[in-house]
Order: sequence, then C-alpha cells, then structure tokens
Amino acid sequence: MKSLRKAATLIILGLALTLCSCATSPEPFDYGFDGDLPTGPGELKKGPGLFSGEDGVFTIYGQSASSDEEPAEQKKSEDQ
Amino acid sequence: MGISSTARGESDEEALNKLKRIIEKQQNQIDVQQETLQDLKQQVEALSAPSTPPSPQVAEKKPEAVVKSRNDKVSLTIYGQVNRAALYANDGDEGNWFFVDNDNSSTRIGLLGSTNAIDDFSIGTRFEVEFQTNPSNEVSQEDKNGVGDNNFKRRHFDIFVTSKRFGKLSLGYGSTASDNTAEVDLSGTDVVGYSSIADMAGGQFFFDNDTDTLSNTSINDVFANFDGIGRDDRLRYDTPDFYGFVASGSVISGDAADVALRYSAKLGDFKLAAAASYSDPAGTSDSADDRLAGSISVLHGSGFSLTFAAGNEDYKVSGRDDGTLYYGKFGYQRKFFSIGTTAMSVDYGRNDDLDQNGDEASTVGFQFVQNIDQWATEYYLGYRYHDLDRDNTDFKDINALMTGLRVKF
Repeated sequence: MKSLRKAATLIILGLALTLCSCATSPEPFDYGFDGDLPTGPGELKKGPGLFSGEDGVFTIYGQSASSDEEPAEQKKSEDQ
Repeated sequence: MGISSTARGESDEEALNKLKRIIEKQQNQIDVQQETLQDLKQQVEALSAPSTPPSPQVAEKKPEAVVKSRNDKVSLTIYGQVNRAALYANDGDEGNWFFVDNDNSSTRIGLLGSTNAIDDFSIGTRFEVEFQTNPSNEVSQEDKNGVGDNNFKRRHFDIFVTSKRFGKLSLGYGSTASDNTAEVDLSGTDVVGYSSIADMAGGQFFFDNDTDTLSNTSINDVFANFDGIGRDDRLRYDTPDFYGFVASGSVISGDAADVALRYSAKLGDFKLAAAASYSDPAGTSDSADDRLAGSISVLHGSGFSLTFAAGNEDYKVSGRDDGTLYYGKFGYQRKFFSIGTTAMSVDYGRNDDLDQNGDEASTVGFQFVQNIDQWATEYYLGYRYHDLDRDNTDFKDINALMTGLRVKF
C-alpha cells in the first residue's frame, strides 16, 4: 500500500512533466518561478501597488522599473 | 526801404529755426517719457498679475530622494502588502468569528536591492519579514484573540548572484529548491484558497461527537501539501531557463537537501506551469524522512483553468503509513466589470494518514476573487468544508467562511 501510493504520486508527477516536455512549439510564458520577486500562491501579486503605482515597489534610490522602460519607449518614438 | 525789408526777412528765418529746435527738443523729451511710462506699466502688470504656473519641466520634476547612494549602478526598492479578513468557523457544536491575517498570503514588507549586470553577472539582496496578528491558521475555539508572535517573523534574508548564461546562486534564509512546488496555481483565486488547505482555518479543532468535547486534533494536524522544505538557511542553485525548464537544487544547514524541476510555457491558447520536487529533510525534521511534491496548472484563453497537486511524505517512525495529498481545482476568470478581473473556483483535496494511520481528511471549497485594479486590491470570499474520518472516532465537520481584502502597497 505504502509503495503503491508513492508510485501513484510519482506517476502523476511524471505524467505532468512528460506532458510539458512533449508539447509542440511552446512559447515563453513567465509564471514567476524565478526573478528577484517570485510570484504564485503565498507570494506578492504581480503588478502595480496602491501607493507605489505602476512599478509595484517604491524605489528608494536608483532607477525605478518604469524609468528603465522609458528609454526604450523614447527610442521607439524617435525611430518612428 | 529795401534794406529794412531784407533785415526783417533774416530775423524771421532765425525765429523759425529757433522754434524748430525747441519743438525737436520737446519731442525728444516726450519720447523718453513715453518709454519710461511703458516700463512702469510693464512692472505694474507683472506685480498685479496672478502667479504663473511653473513650466512643465518644473512641474514634472520629482522631489529629490531622501536616501541617496553614491553608486549609480544600484537600486533599492521597498514593497509589501496588507491582507486582512474576517473568518467564521463552525465546528458543528459552536461557531466563532475572528478577525485575522489571511495566512494564504500574509501581511509583509520587504527590501530588494539589485545592481546593473557586469559581464552578465549581477548581485542582489532580499530582506523580507511578515507581521501577522491573529493568523487565520492559528486562531482557534480556545485562542480567539492576541494570537501570533506579535513581532516580525523572517521570510527572506538572501544574497543572490544571477547570470543569464550560468543561472542563479542564492545564499541565505529563503526558499529552498522544493519550496512552492506543490502550489503552482493559475486560477487567480489563490489568495483565498489553494493546495495549502490549512491556511484558511488551520487552528480550528475538530469536535468529538462521542465524548461531546473539543478534541485536540486540529485542521493543521490532518491537512498538508508537503511543499518541500519551504524556507530555510540554505545554498541554492537554479539553472538558466532551458526551453521553459529550470532545474534547482539546494543544501540546507543541518543536513537536508532537495532538488526540483519547473516548467512554464504558452502552448497555443493554453498557459501552462508545472513543478515537481524531491526533498530529504531528515536532518532538520523531527518526523519526515523524505517528501515528494508536484503540481500543474493550465489556464485556457477562455478563462477556464485546471490545477492539480499531489504529494507524499515518508515518516521516520516505523509502522507509519506515508502521508499523501491529492488536490484538484477548477476555475474560471473573466473581466465582467471594468474595475478588474473576477476569478472563481471550486476545489477538492484529500489527505490520508497524516496524524494517524487510517486518517482520511477531505475538503471541498469555493473561492471568489474580485480584483480592483485602480486600488491594487483584491476582494475575496472563500468557503471551505473540512471532514475527518478516523477509526473509532466520530468527528463533526468544520465549516469555514473567510472574506477580506489584500492590498498591495
């Protein structure tokens, strides 16, 4: 019984990962496993904050996430 | 006669010239006075006019940072959330209301430091603590108020070096490789319910129908998702992303270790995320020898989602059956209202042999989450039914209802 349950769990996990690896032409999708602030149950939600705004964090010093994006947008408009 | 007329003609001409000079001189004086008047008029207008708005450049200028660094290649950010709820729990004998910190995702604050990459390498630090008064998984029929540490509790004290080519190396107190591998969930309702069943009302004790008293067996004792080793003092390595796969391993202070594999990708209309782990916490756990955990979640473009989790724990005590977990969730999310996405789900979970051999603990739940985007807030409502079957004992079921708000600040 003990080994049967362990085997069942392993089979479920194995099937799940096999399904993933057999999938055709996958595109990148960032679930939030990695990164400096991972997301998921129990973790902070992705996205803006009530007081911190678009960045979702207060930048005490250094470049904020939104200012990081600014040059790229500016460059795009300059290109156009 | 001729002489006198000539003399008069000369004097008339002189008089005319003299008058002409006088007129020119007066005209000059008038011009100067006009200029002076114009200047004065401008000064009066400037003084009497309302204050003019600053130029756009001045208006958009942000206040100077209070804290400064002499290193312009670094950044430091502060983040956090508050998650408070009202919890009602009924053990079949009596019902109680509690005002709690929702342990599905606790109230917390953190500091994240990072640097610009140099030759693909960057270093960062993460400092994060939680502060829970009346945690939802600790309040009980016997402990209704003032529950919790009344202090900050560690979550992350971490230093990490990251490289796109070589991966990530983390040293400190933080997530082990196996942490969160039983909790992958794309339903959008995890703030009020996911595979960690006991987070909602874990401290509630089952009521023993035979003895007509409160037992000493709580929801925490019989439900668990075997989510690896969790957070601990460890050295962890994560490989770079390889076609959506990331492998991880960590060694934990006190002779414990774990390995994990994670995958995430978009396949047509499906978003998919999965994780699995094996952990050996024998050196740091009093009861567990090893654990297996895994979960997979799929979200279709239509908003429907499916989530499964499973786990197994081998106990040190001889004669004990392995503890097991099976969990499933069906969800749907859509933007019904302009304020934000609405997500709802139903789930079922079963844990066997956790507290004692033969224990069968099962749960059914319903979750509802309304996102309020402009406030970075989620309103949630969750219901959970808990049932425990134990040989020669008749426990009453526990029903729990929780509603509250999570605000990311």
